[in-house]
Amino acid sequence: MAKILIIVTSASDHQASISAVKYAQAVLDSTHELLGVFFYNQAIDAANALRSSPSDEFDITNSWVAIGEQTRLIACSAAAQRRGVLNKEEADYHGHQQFNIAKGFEILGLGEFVQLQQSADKVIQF
Amino acid sequence: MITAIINQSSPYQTQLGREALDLALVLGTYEQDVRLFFKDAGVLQLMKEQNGEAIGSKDFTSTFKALDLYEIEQVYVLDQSLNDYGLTANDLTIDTVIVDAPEFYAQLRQCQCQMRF
Repeated sequence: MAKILIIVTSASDHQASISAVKYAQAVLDSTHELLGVFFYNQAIDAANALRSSPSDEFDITNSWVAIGEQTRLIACSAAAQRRGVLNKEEADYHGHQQFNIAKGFEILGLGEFVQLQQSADKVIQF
Repeated sequence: MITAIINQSSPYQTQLGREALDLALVLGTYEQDVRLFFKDAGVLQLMKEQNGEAIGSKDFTSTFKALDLYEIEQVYVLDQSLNDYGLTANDLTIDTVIVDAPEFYAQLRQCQCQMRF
């Protein structure tokens, strides 16, 4: 049994982001342990609750929200601020009235990634 | 776990180079063994005398000079990529190890965690 950490850096309109969802679900369905999913670079857009996919297309954000019921979803704070994805605390801090982080996502620093990586047997990037 | 950060993107077209460097520095801060690899257009990040401000982009590449402070000492550059852009060691802002493809990938294989930006 391996401890697996996923880092997603591909934008949500990239096929790799769908592969990441399917890989995460496969790990959860296996005997391996998923330590969490870290969102960085362009993958931050997956954490935007306002994304509204057409009903006949793959819904990245809600797929992650479902996976988030079984593992941690962490968006890098600096990358998220830069791309306009905020939780209530970050929105208050930056003086915005609205926030848009999807359910189940935490916003934390890169240090969190490093700490998770230290406990991981494998790190998989999409 | 040894971490390789593989830089293959030009410095200003996307945020990839800047965020890859941010990640490398945080890994260094936590005293992790992190090694940098540059290939393809990623070698352009290492060029001297960049002026990102002129195109409205912050010049993050000057931070490469601070890698020593984070004890990031192993920086590998693929020789073929330098040749492709007509660059030599003299054009680079920091000391690197310039290697051919077999050596580049041999070094990469030492790293259990490889992330590509």
